[in-house]
Amino acid sequence: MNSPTTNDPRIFWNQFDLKDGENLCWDVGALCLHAHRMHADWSLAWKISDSPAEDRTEVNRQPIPPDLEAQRWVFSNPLATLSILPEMPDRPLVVRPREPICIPAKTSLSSYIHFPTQAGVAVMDGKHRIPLISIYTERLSNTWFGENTSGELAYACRTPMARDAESPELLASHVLCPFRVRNASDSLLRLERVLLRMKPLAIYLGQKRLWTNEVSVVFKGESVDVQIEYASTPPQEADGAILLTEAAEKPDRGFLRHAFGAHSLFRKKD
Amino acid sequence: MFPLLLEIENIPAEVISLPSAMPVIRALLIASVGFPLLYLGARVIQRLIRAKTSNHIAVVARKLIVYLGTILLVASILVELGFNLSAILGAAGIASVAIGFAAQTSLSNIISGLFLYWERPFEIGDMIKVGDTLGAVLAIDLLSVKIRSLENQYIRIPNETLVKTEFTNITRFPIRRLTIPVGVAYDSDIKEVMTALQAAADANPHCLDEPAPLIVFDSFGDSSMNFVFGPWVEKTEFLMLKNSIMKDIKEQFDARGIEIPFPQRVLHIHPSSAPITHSPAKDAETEVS
Repeated sequence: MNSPTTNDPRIFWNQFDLKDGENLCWDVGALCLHAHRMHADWSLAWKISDSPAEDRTEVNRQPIPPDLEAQRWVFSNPLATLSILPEMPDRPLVVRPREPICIPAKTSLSSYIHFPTQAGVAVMDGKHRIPLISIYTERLSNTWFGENTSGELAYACRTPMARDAESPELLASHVLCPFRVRNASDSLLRLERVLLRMKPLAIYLGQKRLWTNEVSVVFKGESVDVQIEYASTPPQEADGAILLTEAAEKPDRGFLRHAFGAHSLFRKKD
Repeated sequence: MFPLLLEIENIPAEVISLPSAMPVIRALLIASVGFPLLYLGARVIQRLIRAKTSNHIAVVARKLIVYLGTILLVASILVELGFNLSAILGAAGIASVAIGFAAQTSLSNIISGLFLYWERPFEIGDMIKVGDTLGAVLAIDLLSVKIRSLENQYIRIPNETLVKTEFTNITRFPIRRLTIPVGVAYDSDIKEVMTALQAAADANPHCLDEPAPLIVFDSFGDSSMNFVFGPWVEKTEFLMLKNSIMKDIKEQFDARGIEIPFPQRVLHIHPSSAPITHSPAKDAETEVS
């Protein structure tokens, strides 16, 4: 059974019923995942290529390619349904616009940040989801946020920070995060990088793409705490979106970062 | 009768009073209940402290509790057996002077150990380098620090040595820089070499995006132009980066036609050092004249 090649996320982030001996080939982003069902056992093998190919899914009766190293999960009863849902990266993301963005005093910026999700693979036991593994759909480079002697490990991500939600060419594995910045200070804000925490972000399935809840930031000056707000509902742009993956942490309204947070959110080049 | 009691009988009466059965039973009870409780309590406190602070402080706290508890339990047992503790402590005071002279090195190690506890230049699990010895810290004890080398050898370093000598804590900070000297042929484009090194860093997911890798044109060598390439890495991924970045550099150099030269020498033959040649005609002319 072949599925048409498309970037519609609903095709890929879904449930797949496999008969005994069948193999699901799930190619999304840079991830090529093979899931093979044998009686009550499931075997998974995957590889991450250097450059993302065309997204596609295919169910066949071929075995897992021998060049891939497989892992096997065993169950007492035959469970025929595999569920693949998008999950947030397991570390914060340091997002860098392609070029530094200057926001004049008392000005707001509405933009969209997109980044690759992880694929959370699970087996369905009725309505109960039994998680197997979470795999990158794209290998992001590591980066460090903070001083060399203290700080935190994050993933690096470059983004155009588009003003229009339709303009970024998204893969089915990418999620779009509405990001608003208000410069409430009296000085120019030069935005070079943003630390985006993943735990308060949920993933919603829209008509054409995946969305996260909106992140709003108010910058009041270098020495003042930065106010961050994570919305708890899907963004307005994602009309009729449904919740796919809940946030790991409850989104906080009016959340205030302390001194470290102020510097960790926006950082100027030394 | 126990051999212990036989020995006790031979000790003068002013030092001890002969134990009856009850004190011995009490002493045994203290030992059999006290020591397991002490070790159990110390373990529980270690876990509680580890959850709140670091493993290092937890281990130190456990050892302190065990040492102090052992002293108290032994003292209690001796009192139960009828030993006069003040006499023993008095004798111990005199003995300690003599022992102090005899055990200078041990005392020095103990005091050094206290400095190490206080200063905390490393913690259990840190990778340290002392002289030529490189390994992970297994334990910080009263007399010495125990290290497990990369070859899985057990190495004991006296505390005094660590206080006296310079050592390096490799994993103290969360990120490290890998320093790679790179030599390229003299006909290479310097800008292209720097671009290739940056591309190698960009292509490697273990290499940190920030801080940016160090790329320096270091020197003019005998056979090559020497660069220093220093990508940054999170400390736990150091070996993964080291294993993969060389391949990335080679691939980038190959793709751009940058040559890594072999050592070479350019020889110039000076006219004065040219070999003397014998011409028969010239020799004949010389003979006629």
